[in-house]
Amino acid sequence: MKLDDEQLAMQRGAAGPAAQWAIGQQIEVGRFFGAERLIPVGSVLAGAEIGITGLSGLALLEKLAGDGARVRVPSLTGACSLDFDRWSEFRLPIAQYAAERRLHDALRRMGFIDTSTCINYQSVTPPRFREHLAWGDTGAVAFANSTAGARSNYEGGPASIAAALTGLVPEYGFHLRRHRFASRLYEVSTPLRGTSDWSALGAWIGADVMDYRTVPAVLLHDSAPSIDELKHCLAAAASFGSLAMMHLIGATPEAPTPEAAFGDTPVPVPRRIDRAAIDGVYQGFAGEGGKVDLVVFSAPQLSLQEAADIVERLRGRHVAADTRLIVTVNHQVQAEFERLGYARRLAESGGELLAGTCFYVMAPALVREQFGFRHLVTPSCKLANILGGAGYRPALRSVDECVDAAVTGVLP
Amino acid sequence: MPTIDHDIGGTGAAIECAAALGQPCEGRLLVSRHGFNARYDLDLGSGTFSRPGHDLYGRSLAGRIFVFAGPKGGIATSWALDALAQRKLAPLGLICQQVNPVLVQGAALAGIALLAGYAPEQAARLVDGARVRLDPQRRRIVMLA
Repeated sequence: MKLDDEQLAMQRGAAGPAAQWAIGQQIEVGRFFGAERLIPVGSVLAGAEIGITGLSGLALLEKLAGDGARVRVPSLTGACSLDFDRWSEFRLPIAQYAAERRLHDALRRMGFIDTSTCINYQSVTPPRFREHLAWGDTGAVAFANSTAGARSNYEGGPASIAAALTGLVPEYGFHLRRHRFASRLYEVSTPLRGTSDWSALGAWIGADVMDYRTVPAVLLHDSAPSIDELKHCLAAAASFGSLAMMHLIGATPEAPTPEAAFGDTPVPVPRRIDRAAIDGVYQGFAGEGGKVDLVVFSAPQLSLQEAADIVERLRGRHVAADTRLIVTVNHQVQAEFERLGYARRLAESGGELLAGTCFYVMAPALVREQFGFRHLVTPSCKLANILGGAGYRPALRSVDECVDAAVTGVLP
Repeated sequence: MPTIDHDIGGTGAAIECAAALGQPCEGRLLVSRHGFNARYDLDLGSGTFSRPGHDLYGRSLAGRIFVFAGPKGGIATSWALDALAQRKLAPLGLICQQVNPVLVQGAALAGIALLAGYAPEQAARLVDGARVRLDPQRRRIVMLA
């Protein structure tokens, strides 16, 4: 890998031990992937919350902060493992709160803007076409690559920290145009309606591809996705298949036509995704019927539009006595949600708003044990996918059905 | 493309890989046919597989060379490998056909050997319990027994 004079100096420690650690990590990863150089990035989204960093990650971050580490480019924090104002309502241990506080304090000392969001692209730092990024949330990466034509690999937690401290990333994978062309084509032959359908589409394609390097392209006929629907589709594709990019022909910037999406490769015969395929995803998360413990709108955090829509769909109805309805947003959406009166209306209906977190990072197995939760309903395939491993029996339903489940306390 | 070298050190056949990092190690294989994500599949407190239906459900990663299809899902694995390593619960090494950056970044942070990109027809030789040596510098999995 070729390093310029400044990078060589950083490697020797001239910019301090934190930057030296950071560039050392990046060189090792870059060599693995055959990167020829390091390139500057426009922003960083750090994937760091105590549930995944553990105490060893916390120790590393505190050491870096203690060594005088400073970010070199605009750097944000991803969703954290609790709502700092409401963590005790979920019986999360005070040790988790204290450790998460220390972790975010360390990040702030390094110069991170503590946004605690996985949807920075909707409310903080929208990506631009061909902008190189170092983002550490997989759904955010898939969104940036796909819908904006920005360029990021998955920069996992330590890699996103390293990128913030150097302002650089190794140039491989999705930073290079040659890796951004489609190699599989799908044709959706059924109309898709609402975020749960789009989430199911992402899950289906993700599970079919199951490869980070593969870029699928999708032909749509009767559907025009909103940004929120694309968000759920791409988050699910990342969750189920480790996908970092997807072209939607005619809807995303590097795929105005199938030919553009495939570059020099002939456009293949598409594989059809029909209603039965989408329904199959729902059937995979059918739930067990009967009582519903939790209805969760999360993963990714909701936009203002999505959160307001839930309040409108409740129409003043109250959540069932033994059921909890949870909505997770970032602090930017929370502020508007409160200013516009939606937060009050949600609370009056018995719903709960959590800010700065996402339900699946909120020690979900511990929460389940504490409250005896089992039956969870959500329109997010990503959430359903993850919580299956935490002992829940997740059911995938449309937003309307989720709201109805919250009100009746019964799985529709 | 990865190829086989049958004359490695006189101890048996070796499998060549496309990419590798880390230090050499020796151990027994723990083999899964599933994808892997530390958050989705593991109880991070014990290092055992906790996802119902996983083919290694109830088994521990600690001290084994973990063979799996490839990474899946989010970024958790990038931190989790180091967290496991600090508590002596981490695998000695990792072998998979496909990688994503998160897995590589996590292995680099934790100092765990990673070899990736072997020929698919070699998968059948990587059987649970087999003893192997990982040689990242030469990008080779050496079959010992």
